[in-house]
Amino acid sequence: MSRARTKMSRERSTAENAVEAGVRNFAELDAFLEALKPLSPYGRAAKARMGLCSDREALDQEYGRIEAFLRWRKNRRLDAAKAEAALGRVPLLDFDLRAQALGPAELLLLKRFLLCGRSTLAALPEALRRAVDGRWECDGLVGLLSKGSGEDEESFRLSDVHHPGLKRVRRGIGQADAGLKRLRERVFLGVRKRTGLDFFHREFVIADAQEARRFYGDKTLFIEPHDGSRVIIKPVLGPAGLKLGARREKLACEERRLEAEVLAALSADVSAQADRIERLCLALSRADLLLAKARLAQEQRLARPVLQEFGSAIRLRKARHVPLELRNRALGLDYTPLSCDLESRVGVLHGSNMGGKTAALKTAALLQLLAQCGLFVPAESFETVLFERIDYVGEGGSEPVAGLSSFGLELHGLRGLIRDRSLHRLVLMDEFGKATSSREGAALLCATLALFSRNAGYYALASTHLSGLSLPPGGAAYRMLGFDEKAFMKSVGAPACCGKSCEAAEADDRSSERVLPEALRRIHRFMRYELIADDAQVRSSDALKVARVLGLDADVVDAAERFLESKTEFNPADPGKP
Amino acid sequence: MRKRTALNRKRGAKYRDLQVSDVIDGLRGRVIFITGSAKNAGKTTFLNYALNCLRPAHGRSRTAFGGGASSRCRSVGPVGFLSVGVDGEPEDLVFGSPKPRVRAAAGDLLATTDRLLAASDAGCELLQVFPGTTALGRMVLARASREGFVELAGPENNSRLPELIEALQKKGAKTVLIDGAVDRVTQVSSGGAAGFVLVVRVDPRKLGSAQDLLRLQSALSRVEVRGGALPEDGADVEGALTQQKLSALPVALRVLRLEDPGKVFLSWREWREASRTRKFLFKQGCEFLGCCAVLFDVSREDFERGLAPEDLANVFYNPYEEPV
Repeated sequence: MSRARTKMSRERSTAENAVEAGVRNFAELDAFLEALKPLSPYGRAAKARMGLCSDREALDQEYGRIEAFLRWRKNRRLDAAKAEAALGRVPLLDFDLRAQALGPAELLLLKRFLLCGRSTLAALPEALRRAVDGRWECDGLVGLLSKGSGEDEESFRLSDVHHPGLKRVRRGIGQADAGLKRLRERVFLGVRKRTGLDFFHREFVIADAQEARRFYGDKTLFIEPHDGSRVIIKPVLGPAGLKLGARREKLACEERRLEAEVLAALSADVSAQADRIERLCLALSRADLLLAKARLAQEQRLARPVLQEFGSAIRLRKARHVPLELRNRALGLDYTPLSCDLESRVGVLHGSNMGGKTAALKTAALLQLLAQCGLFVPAESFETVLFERIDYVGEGGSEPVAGLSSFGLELHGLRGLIRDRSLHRLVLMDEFGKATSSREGAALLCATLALFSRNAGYYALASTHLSGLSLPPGGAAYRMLGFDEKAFMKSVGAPACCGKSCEAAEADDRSSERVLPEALRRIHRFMRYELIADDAQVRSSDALKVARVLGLDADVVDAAERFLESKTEFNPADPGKP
Repeated sequence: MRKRTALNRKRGAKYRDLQVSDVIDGLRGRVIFITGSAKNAGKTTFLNYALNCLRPAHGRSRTAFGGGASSRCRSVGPVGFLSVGVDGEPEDLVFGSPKPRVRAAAGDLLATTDRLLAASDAGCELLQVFPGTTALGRMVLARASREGFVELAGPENNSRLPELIEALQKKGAKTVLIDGAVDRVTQVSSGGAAGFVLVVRVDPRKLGSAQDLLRLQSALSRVEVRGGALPEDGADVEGALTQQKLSALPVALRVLRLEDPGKVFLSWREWREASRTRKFLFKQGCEFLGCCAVLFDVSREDFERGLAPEDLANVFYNPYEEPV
């Protein structure tokens, strides 16, 4: 197996890179991939090895294979079910195929693996077999392992036909057993007639020591103490029994020796065909993973990504961040798929608090990762380009480093991806610089985006609330539509900035457990999650409206509004008086 | 509710004289745990006896021994067996004392490890290999092709037990016997078909504790099994019920429901005391088929003295010491 594993890892290293933990977590890639369920241990291992591929031709071929499996799965359901059933029974060969002495358990595992592999390949049409490089070339080995099998095709026994001597030895053991049985019955019957002791279903009996005295001297009985007043009585088969027992033991030793010979011969056969078995492992892992990808595409209505030349726009139509969609559904909230055209390589995304900026970034990240992992994506359509690295800068983007604050960590992450400018990179930045002063944070963000804009290898999308940004040449700005004031007024009868409207809507129930889901539902109802092209001027973040809808104390929100209107210094000692 | 089995009806009709043959009848077609009061209580010896009784006769009939047909000859099909520890080895691995060996017959289904099976002389056909390995090798399922001794070893993880039992049943075992500890019983009891036999070693030093164990097990077997809602003064008790946990529970809780009888970690006296003030329920049960008393220097009269009729109704004696 080790050679197969080496081959597979070498294959991966040529075309794929591991997905960075930061962006993997930000995009919730693993949560999405929970639904990707290969059926065999080999498919599961292939899933675990999936990485970021930036080879357009290889990805297009993979998408083509998924489409082919998808079509086959839809059109030939019975065959697909057969293949899936066989894959589900494939055992893991967790031993060295080139070992000199495999045991019966290993050989049974191998036999079952081969039978399942054969069934899987037999269910696939020729084109799909070619697609996974699946060739059945182990008939000889299956024949060897199936020699003398009983009714159960997937069982294993070192059969008489494996070695001419085994039949003879086993016949001898059978004869000895039969002789012992006859002798036992004869002795037991004799003892019963003579003594009344009944050994039916019992190897011994326990009798009163006083009563058993009458059996002392009976050479057909062996008597030993059980406790202070009783004895154990066993029938003795005598010299004939000893002779038969010794003969049986000798034959059993001979049988073990012959079986070891057979095992060594079979092990040599397995070792000689190890390459073929490893090829079958690879084919099964590919078929299993492709079938899993096709199942996922069918179940979740996924679309084939369209790959464009580097430098082209990224376009998403009705893209869904499935883990977020599921969470919304659990809370009884609607989910708005994302549609947008990211025409420029560098873009800034702004909009309301809770307006969906981070969700939009997550969606873009998830789709990009899935596409480059060779999977279809949850969208109506997705046009994109390929990157050698996908990076995320923001909360949770880096492992904590002793001594570094959250701002320090952001810079630490940013430094790494700026230093190496040789790769095609996608950089997703969520609220960069929010932990420092807004003026300095904005300056750093502008400078970083300008650098990305100057270097043709970078694509970047940054969400921010920072004001005073200047877009780099060729950069674009986008905005989440945000809070729909008109719809809110129409529904509630008062603007969201008016404390009464929210109080009325909350009725008289102020327990936080009930208010929060209701407030979330209200925000979702009136928040417009569409992403549109915009200028770079940051408008209101609807922070006060959101604060009010979420039930922040009205006095606090009113004071904040007065402060904004007065545009004077804030007096924390008396927030009501600027 | 306690199941109305043939065995229970017999107990209801007549409290004394539970016969081995009644117990053997109660084992047929079911998953049975053979549990013991201590090491070397006689579990494996009883397992061998039960296997002899439950196997298809293969021409070995009572008639051959001079008697008439007996219920002890009746079989419902192949038997399967396994252990939750290590069984069938010539010596106890801990104490080095001689141990009874498990004897397989042609057609028996058994679960053990591949290394132990290699040492067996029962000419086994391998039917299944389970994922992972134990300290004694891979867990395998096999069918004996001839008579011979086998060593049994169980899975290292309790959670694997239902999988092994199901596999034995799928391969044709009608009755499955598990040589094992009582704390494993409830893992497979949810299906309703599982039961257990308690083998108790009774010697003069442990006469009182053996009687108490029987009393406790009899009392637990009479506890109602009930799901659904509890009354207002009732509560579910998570995990094991110890005297310490019991003392910490509010006195106002009059009804306590435990997961199963295996969660009771009280002595007979503690249980009796607690039962005076509280009602106990189990979410799931496992039928107690009887207690096999293996007597050493204790007479039946001494053992039975002080036991209530409802406790004695669960007692049968070592099948190897039936009157000769």
